[in-house]
Amino acid sequence: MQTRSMQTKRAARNVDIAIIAVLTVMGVLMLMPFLWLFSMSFRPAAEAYKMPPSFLPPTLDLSNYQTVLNSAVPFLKIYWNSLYVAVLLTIGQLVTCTLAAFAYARLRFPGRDSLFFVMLIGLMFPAQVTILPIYLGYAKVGLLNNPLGLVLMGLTSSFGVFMLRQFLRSQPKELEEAALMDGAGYFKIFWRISLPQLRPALAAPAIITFTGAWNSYFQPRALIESQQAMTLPIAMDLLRGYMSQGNLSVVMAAMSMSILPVVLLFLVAQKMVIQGVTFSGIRN
Amino acid sequence: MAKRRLSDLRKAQMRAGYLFVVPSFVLYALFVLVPVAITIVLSFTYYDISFGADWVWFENYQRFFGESRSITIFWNTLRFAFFAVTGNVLVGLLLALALNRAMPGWLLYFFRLAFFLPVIISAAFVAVVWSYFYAVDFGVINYYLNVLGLPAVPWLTSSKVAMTSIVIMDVWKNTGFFMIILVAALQGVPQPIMDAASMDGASPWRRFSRITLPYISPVLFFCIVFATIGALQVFESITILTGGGPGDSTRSLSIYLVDEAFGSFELGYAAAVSVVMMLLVLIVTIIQLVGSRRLVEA
Amino acid sequence: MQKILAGLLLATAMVAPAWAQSDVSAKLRLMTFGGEAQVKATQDAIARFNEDYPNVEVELGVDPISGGWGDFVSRVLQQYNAGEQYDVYHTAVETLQSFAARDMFIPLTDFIEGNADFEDFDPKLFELTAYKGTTYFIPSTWNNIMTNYNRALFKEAGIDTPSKTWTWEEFADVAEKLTKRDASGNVTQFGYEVPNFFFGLMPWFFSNGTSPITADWTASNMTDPKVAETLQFLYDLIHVRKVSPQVGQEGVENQFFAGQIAMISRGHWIVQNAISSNLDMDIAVQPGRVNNNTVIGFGAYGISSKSQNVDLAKALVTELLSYETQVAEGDLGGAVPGRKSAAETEGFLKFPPSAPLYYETLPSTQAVPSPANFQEVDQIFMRYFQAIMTDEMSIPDAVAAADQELTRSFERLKRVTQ
Repeated sequence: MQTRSMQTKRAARNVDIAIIAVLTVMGVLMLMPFLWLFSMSFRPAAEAYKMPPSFLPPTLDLSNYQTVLNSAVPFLKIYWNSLYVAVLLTIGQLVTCTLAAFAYARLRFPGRDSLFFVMLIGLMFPAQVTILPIYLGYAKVGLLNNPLGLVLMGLTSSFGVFMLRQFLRSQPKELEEAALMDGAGYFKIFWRISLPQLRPALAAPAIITFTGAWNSYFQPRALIESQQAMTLPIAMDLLRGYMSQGNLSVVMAAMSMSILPVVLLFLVAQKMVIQGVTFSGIRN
Repeated sequence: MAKRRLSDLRKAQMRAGYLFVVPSFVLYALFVLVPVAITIVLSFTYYDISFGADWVWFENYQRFFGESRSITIFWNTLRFAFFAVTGNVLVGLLLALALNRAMPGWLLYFFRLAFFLPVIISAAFVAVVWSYFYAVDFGVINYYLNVLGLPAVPWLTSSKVAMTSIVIMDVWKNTGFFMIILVAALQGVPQPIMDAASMDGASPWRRFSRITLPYISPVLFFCIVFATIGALQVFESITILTGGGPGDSTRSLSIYLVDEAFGSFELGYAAAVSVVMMLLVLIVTIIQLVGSRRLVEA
Repeated sequence: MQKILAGLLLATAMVAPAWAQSDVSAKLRLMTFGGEAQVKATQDAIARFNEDYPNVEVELGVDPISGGWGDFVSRVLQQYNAGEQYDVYHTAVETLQSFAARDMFIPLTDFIEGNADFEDFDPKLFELTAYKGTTYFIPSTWNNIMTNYNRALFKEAGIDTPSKTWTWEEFADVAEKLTKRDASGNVTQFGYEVPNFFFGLMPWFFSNGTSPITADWTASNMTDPKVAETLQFLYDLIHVRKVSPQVGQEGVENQFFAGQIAMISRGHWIVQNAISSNLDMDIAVQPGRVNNNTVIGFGAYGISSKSQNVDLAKALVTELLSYETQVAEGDLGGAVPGRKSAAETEGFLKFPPSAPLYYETLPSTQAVPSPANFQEVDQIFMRYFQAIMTDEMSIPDAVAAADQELTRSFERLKRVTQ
């Protein structure tokens, strides 16, 4: 005989299954554009535009990939540029943001809250607004056409400071207070106590920064013209060609190669990302 | 002895405070505050890059608020932000609610991947791919609609549909981010209270609105503010997908700004548009913050 | 001994011309545009230049022009302002007035006249690079708009190849014959694609003896009834005769290559993709009403007025315009070489079958309207064009509104040109 609770449990389970089924369908739909991108990269260039579209690679023909690597556009150099800009930027941001977050969260000094507030306002200024003065400034100091210029621009992030400060505020202060009593200097406290406390929360801003730098299009486009100094999203423009001459399959091959690191990063660091994003978002 | 120690401590704190804050603040001032200040000044001039600046006071602003085109674009920006934010956060919430149940670990992993992947891909790439999906006559979506016997939809060629198409793409790209945050927020809702409520016979909707919602409201609010700031500034996806067209139906302030600055060489006017845009973001955010005081339970 | 010395000297003297390298050491900066094909040809030209000037480092900047030519002009203006200008620029006709009005390039009239090598370039091209009597740019390669058609589809439908004087009506009939529908009424093959870009639309206006702006590029011409007439014809192609897909953002060259569109208005730049798609394609002249004129746009090299190495720059430009470079650009399927001889090579003429038509039509081309506010003109026109074609606005309304906006734009332009 089924008790009422067993019945409701059954019903609940059925609802669960139904929801999961719907989620699965949605998940597959979400992935469709990626599947299309990936399989188009394997289509021979001559077949690139024929219907019906393919979502599974028709062959394992790597010729489009070879075309990209052999083209007049220095794809590998550009790849490398994107890579080291993203890495340097991420490390740099972690350094400046953790220091600042510690100061805003733990230290008292006059003007602290006003400075923090002023920093927050930065979230509201889009890149389109600030780019022209930066371009002119960079020109004067010779940082145009230089990936390091991109790094310099992004060495700090209002968002990063905000997220890390929020996280730090939710952490216990006892260890710090004890260390202070023992006469420890503030940098030591930062290094030995706060930084380890921050560690779980660092993954999220790091990954967000890395992917942001990897995917950034507008600023590099405005500041870099030399092929040797470009980053990947701009290389895509070149491959798409003047008046879209470039072949679709070839462009898709280049894109597949470009999204690889970011996808790998996510697959590997998934847990950390989730943890970090949730810790920082939870407390407002 | 104790007093001296206290003021030494205070001084040490001040020194450390400023020292630690200086790197990020100086960079911030250089790359954000200074350019913004320059932009604000430029907005009161007619600036030609070869010939220099002419002071024109409020002419640029008069032009912005006087031309029907710029007003249309202003409202477009707001409208897009409204729909995009609603879509992103609502879908993110629904997905989070759906995801917040027991399931095999590999399935959870698959869902996280499927929904978060679009977030980490470049907006420029996403727009290129979607432009092939949305192409009217030989695009992927319409191809399958035809196969199913449905009429083709003028995704990007009808000014009535274009904005919707862009919102769909924007939600596809960004909802995963909010989903992840909201899943974590949902997990912070104490299970015992939920259990007690269902034992008392509360309907799922009641449980949600009376318990879940209040608990996640701070996070939900954070999502809304964050999504709004992003949506008001959207640029790359729209530029590549429609260029602002057809007509001006999908043109946002940031696209208009770039058009005027780099296409029409109207740097002073573009600066004025920038200022309007920044004020818009500021005002909307303030409204949301004020609203949160009343609606959000800390 | 003396004989040996003399012999050595003589030998050296004979070999010396082959060694006529300059040891001068310098850095030249070259800015060009385009995609991979153009970049390759330019890189090869630089390599040849370096054979004669091994110690001159040439830095190459490439702009994919994904933001339009106005964007490019903006960048160049910023470069000059910041002291970061390049020595040599490869730019397009649309930009010439914007640049010339600001004294950014050196006059090249003497350089051109003194160089017999440039006689190989069609004089018509030089006509179009002069500004107020002085020539600041040397044309490099050019593109016009031809009617590219799918020969296989024509044969299949039993249609004759278009004549050199075919009319709008004949064209529309052909397009109708080439439009196929399936059982449910969906179009599986379109006869023609109404262009969605300014350059591609101009031939329709020129062949009707009109243009969106006045012939001297100083004011709007939208109120000319012929402009409305042309717009009506194009509108009918889409909505009445239904031979063309709707005007959108993404071009439909892809579908042309896949054989789903029979005719499109494009230039020589699609040749490479046509070849790699194995398309049986040929070209025909622009259908005519008043004449069969089409539009021309071209690239041109200029030397910055702030360059420190003008002579070296001239040498580089000479190499960039050399026969070899021109042949390479033509072969790689980019634009049509400005040198007539480079357009007569086998590589250039092998595809499409009527390749000689490109040069044949050169005398009947009109330059794409290129006032100093061209990007705005382009933008304003295309916005209203799209509004008309997507049935958002009626032609009279759109034409009046476009006229207003264009006039305001020209008003603002006076600030610069005065």
